[in-house]
Amino acid sequence: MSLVELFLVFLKAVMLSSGGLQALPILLDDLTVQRSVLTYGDFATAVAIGRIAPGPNGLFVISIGYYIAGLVGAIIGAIALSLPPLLAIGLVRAHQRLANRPWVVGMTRGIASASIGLLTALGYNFTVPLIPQPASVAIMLVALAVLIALRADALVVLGGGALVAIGLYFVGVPLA
Amino acid sequence: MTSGTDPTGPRPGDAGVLTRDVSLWQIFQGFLWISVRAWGGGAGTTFVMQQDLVRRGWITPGQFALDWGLSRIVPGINLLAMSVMVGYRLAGTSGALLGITGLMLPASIITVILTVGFVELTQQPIGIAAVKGAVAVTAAMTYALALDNARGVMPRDNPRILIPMLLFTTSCFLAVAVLHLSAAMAIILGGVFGAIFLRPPEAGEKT
Repeated sequence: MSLVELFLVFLKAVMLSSGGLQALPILLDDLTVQRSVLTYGDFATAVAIGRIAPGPNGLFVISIGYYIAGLVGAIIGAIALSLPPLLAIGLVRAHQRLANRPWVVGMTRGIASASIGLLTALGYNFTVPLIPQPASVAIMLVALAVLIALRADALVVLGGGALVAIGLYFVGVPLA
Repeated sequence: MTSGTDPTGPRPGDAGVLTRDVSLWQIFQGFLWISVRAWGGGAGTTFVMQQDLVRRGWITPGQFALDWGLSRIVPGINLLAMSVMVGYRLAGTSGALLGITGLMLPASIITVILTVGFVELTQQPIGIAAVKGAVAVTAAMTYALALDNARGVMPRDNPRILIPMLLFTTSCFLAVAVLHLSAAMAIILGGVFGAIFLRPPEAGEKT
């Protein structure tokens, strides 16, 4: 598989997706099922790394690039991820031009309402797998209280959660 | 934290930028710093981004909520689209390019390093435990973000707008969480619903 072909496969997957994880089934089909350049195991590992790494979801494309073509593949993945979001410039310009029309004001309120519903649904999806383990639910609730009441820094809360989890591991409390 | 020059507070549709004359270097540095600190996947990154950008006055919470929704209809990772939108408003096309580069650079490098060393990492039970703790915090961050966005966007003094917004948000949550409606569809429906039911009345009443 040539580097140009790899770039085009990445670009197609990113162009056809909205949100990082939607590119996943497209890439799985292209690289694992049709071209057999990546095993299911490598694919799963790449996705797991993408989840652990900082930054937005979807950087697993960089890991996949690395698995297929080393550092150059990783760079190709990063470029393919970065190009389509530049289309957002057109959206900002259109919005700025129309911002004062009543229907646009209404529309932006509707979109913001949908965003809040989507965020809550995302939180719900994260919460469901935690429910079987009370300790995980407790970490989540304490973190939520700290974030809302103290406006604590995100990284501090994240580090705190990780440290508590390590402590619980030594005590033998199971986490989801 | 939502105080702007407008005494009624920012509303979606405002330009949503409280600062002027942000240099390109500051934009690059700002997103670089977000990228380094944004552990915890997309939700963690969204939270850190909102916290940092609002603190800097680069965006209001209301505009952030709107951009987050709009970014879902741009192809690719929506947070990268958000960095483009914020960068563009602050300093045009160069700002957009530096915003996305700043956000991508450290995260990409760390992703490559993790890829190289991943096998060793997951053989450590302590590493697995730490990830589990972080996942629980990520769930909390998502709810905190939803609440903060709601505070920034929903006009508490205007029930004519507030009640339909709350109803739509609740329906959207149910449709996505239970019926698995796609995010892009939810955003489009939100836009249509808002254009019809959430538009300000003709001149006279304040919205």
